[in-house]
Amino acid sequence: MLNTVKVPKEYEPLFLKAQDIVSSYFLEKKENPEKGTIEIDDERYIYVRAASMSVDFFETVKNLYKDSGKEEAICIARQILYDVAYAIGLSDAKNFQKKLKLKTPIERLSAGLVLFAYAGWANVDIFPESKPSQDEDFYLIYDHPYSFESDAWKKSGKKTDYSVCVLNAGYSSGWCSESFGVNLVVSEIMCKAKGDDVCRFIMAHPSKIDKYIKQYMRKEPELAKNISRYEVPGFFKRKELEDTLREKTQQLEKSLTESVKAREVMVSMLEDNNQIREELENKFVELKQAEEMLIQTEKLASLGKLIADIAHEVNNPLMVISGKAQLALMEKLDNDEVNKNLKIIMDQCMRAKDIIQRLLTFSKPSHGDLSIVKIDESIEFILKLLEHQYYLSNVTIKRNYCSPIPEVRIDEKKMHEVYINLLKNAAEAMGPDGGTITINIRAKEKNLYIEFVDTGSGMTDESKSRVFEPFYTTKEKGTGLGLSVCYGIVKAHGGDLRYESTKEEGAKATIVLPIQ
Amino acid sequence: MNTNEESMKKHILVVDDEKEIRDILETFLEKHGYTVTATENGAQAVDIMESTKVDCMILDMRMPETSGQSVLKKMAQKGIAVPVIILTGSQDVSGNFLEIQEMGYEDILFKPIDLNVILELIQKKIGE
Repeated sequence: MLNTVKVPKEYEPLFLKAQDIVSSYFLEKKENPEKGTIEIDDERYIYVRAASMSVDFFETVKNLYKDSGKEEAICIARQILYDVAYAIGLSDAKNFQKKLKLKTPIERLSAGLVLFAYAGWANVDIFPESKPSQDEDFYLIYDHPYSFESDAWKKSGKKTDYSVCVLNAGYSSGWCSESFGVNLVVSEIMCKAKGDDVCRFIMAHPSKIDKYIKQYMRKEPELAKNISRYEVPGFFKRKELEDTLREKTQQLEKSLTESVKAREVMVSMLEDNNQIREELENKFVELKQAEEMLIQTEKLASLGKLIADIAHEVNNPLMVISGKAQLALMEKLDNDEVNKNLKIIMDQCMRAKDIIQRLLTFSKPSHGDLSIVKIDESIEFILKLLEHQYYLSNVTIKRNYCSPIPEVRIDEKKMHEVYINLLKNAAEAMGPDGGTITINIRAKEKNLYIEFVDTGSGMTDESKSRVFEPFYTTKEKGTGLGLSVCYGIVKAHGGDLRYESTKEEGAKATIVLPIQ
Repeated sequence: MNTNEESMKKHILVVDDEKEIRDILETFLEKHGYTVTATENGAQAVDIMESTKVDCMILDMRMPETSGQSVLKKMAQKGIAVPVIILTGSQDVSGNFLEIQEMGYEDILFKPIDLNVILELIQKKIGE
């Protein structure tokens, strides 16, 4: 006959079997006061006075923690008792399951409840609505008609306003957690120590216990009136809090790490952005320049063709005018005024010739006809071509070429125009008395440097800063186009054109070209 | 000037399609003691050099029918070795000057030009 526990009918055979096994186990009890041992089936046990672990324990803790206040002291006592009992329950469950070879959770539960009674904690009355399962839906509702704890309180005559069967609750939850493989917690909703008729417990997963208690209270409104206070054990609450705290800390650390990373990424992106913006701005400027150059080139292409055609036609009459003036001068007339005017006519013809030359240079579009060129030969060709030009008549050309001269890939016809412009500028800077133009060719690393150094009047700071500006000229009769065109030509070769000068100390124009 | 002296004079051939220019050069060079033959025609210039001793030719480039460059090519074909001064109204250096230089003709003058520059160059070329 099943008399240690009360369970729903369907579980009775199983619990009966457990009762047989556990009772035979307790028959093996050996008390040996001479050695101070109590043994059951080779396991040492101890007897503990129930009141000292319940009512007296609470009193002691209340005294110890009186500075923290009564409520806090009770809370501490409950936590200690619950945690100790939970640990004992867990350990006993492991031990018995192994010893008795209990396999199913219900078998384990049955052994636990019987053992509970045999060990003197309490007997158990399980309600039929209980649904013990191996998941978070686990629900067990039961009474302890003779809880050792509430009995101790009753016997002491002390009244409480809180539930006191904390060791019972802790032990049960430890045992069942181990048996069902689910974290379980027990709350005593009614307790004889505070005047209830029974000690009633609900066992459930920590996340569900509140829900189950409230459900029960809704179902039993009469009883609920008396359930003024119940506790959810601190062990799980604390563990839950610790887990939450750990989880939050990890999340915080993770988000901190991510924030740091994100910041690094943002900083890097910002840097990249700045770089991209700079590159874009540069590209935009280059594009704008290229566009302007293209528009200028297209405009000038048609203008250039016109100028080239008329140059020939205009130069012939200029030759006639200047030639006739020169022949007239040869007549050696006594009239100085006439001679002077004839000389002016000749000079003006030469000026007109210069203007045409400059316009031709400026307007000729590039055909992009690139070839490998020996730069010294290319310069010599132009020097020969200009040999008889009046502006070079008092100029000495000095050559200072490195050897061998690396080859460059250039549009030679366009580069000819650059040499002509630079030579003419150098000659004009030296004035009618002439001077020396030194042409240096030198190679350094990946570039070829072609320098035209004159002994002229040099340039002012303003001239230097505006030297490549279209239509900027310091000459009375200049067009201001020559150097800006030269700059464009050299840049189009992937090179550079630079001017260095000190006022009164001559100037140096340097063409930089990438070596092939 | 007697016939002997006349025959001692250096003979300059002026080739230009512009009459005024031919006249100026003719007048100027004759004043400096040269015998001058002037023609407006490139083909005719080649004939003259083949039939007559010419000491120096002043050659225009851009002429109708036979251009200055064609004259130079024909001279090369026929083995005519006369010193040449090119006098051109074209200033476009990207033209055919490189080719002309490669043919061995390096003296290129651009119109308008001081007549004395022409004179100096003639003297230099004919070894005076």
